[in-house]
Amino acid sequence: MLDRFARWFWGAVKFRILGSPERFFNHCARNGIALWEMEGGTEPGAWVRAGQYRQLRSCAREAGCRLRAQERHGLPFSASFLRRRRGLPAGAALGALLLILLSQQVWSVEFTGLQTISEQEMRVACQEIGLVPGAWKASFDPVLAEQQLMLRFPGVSWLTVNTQGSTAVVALAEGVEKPDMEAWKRPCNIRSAAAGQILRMEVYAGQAEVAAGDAVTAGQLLVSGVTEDAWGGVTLHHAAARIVAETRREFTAAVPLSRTEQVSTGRELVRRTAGLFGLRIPLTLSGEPGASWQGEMVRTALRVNGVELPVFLLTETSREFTEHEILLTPQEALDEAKRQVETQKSALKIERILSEEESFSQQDGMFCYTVRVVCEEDISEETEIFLNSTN
Amino acid sequence: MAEQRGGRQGSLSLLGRASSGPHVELIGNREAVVEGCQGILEYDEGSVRVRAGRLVVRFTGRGLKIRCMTSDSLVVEGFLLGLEFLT
Repeated sequence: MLDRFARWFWGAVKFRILGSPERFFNHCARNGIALWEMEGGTEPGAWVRAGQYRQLRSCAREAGCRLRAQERHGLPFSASFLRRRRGLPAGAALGALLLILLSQQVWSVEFTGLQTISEQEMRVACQEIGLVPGAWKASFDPVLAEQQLMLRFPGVSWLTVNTQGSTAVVALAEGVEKPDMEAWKRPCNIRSAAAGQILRMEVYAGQAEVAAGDAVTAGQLLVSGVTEDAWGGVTLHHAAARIVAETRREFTAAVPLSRTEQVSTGRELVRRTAGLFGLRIPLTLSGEPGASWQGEMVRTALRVNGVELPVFLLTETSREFTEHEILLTPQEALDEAKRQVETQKSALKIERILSEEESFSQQDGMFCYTVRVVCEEDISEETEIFLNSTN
Repeated sequence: MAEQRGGRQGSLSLLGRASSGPHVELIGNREAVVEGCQGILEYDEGSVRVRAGRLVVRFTGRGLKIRCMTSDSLVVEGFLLGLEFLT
């Protein structure tokens, strides 16, 4: 088997001997030329390695015979057309070399399991630890990379870096924050969030310290979480109650009548950059736009069968903006002020507005809007009872 | 024990004698290996004559073929019918 492979690899020539084969064979044997499948009789001949065929001439001359090649067989003959096309084997060798070299590097970094962490954040973190397209696979340690990324993102419950061919896959699972399960057990009081007159009370836990109809001030204790029994024993509760009181509130919003806004001039600048195996090749010759330009970047990567290749196009679109002063009409200022007041109202637990009084004024370029309301509002506010343990 | 020693001496003396002449090894009637030969004198399908020192070894048979050959050995294969030593 090995003989046959060696004969195919080096090539073999079958030749016919015109003359005395015995003398010729003896000369070949003395000159160390190995022949095989030697035939005598009427049509003598033999096989010889292609590289040794020229050496047979001197043996034939000495033996007084002539040789005629009959068959050629093996790789050197079947690949002889490549002699005229040297570029083909050179290209194949170069291709193989490139394939070996490029397969030693990481060409794409992919992420799976991202929820709250953005891909951009993760890409920047990977860049800092050297996990970038073009990095040598041997130069980075996946275990160390995992540890560094875990330290960078404490909210991640587990993370692993796997290399699949030339792709590094960062797979992670973000942790779920543990809810405060003990909050309802913690002792607390209910205090008044605003001054007013209590209309009705619903006490679910704790000892009521006020009654419906009472007037209360802001911060006054309404329901106590500390209850005392008939024997003088003290029990701590998580007080819970709904205390609706009639309160007076004043909401104020001040809106400037002139403001500056960024307005596009309509000028747009598109810059393109090609990314090839970690190299960035600018395709546009225009320089960096100034500070008055704002831009967005779109990265389009080439994908084949879902695998990202290290070839991408980066399109950076910048638009020029200038600052323009805009003057608001009183109506526009009023609308803006009303929106601000509504936001302030929604932060409170107002149940019903009983009466409302509006006023507005303009001074020093500001539009001031004030609303005074009388409302029914839940004024209960939990305040924790801090205990110092002596144990 | 003495017989064994004698046998071993016998085989050693055989080797000693063989080193002075050709070493012909037959594998059934299909193949013959000749070591210590100096060249081919005659070669066709019916007979192969080989010079081996002062002797000439002649193989006769059918479809005889020299499979391979070096400066002092060769392998003859085919249907061997006879082996003669000529002086």
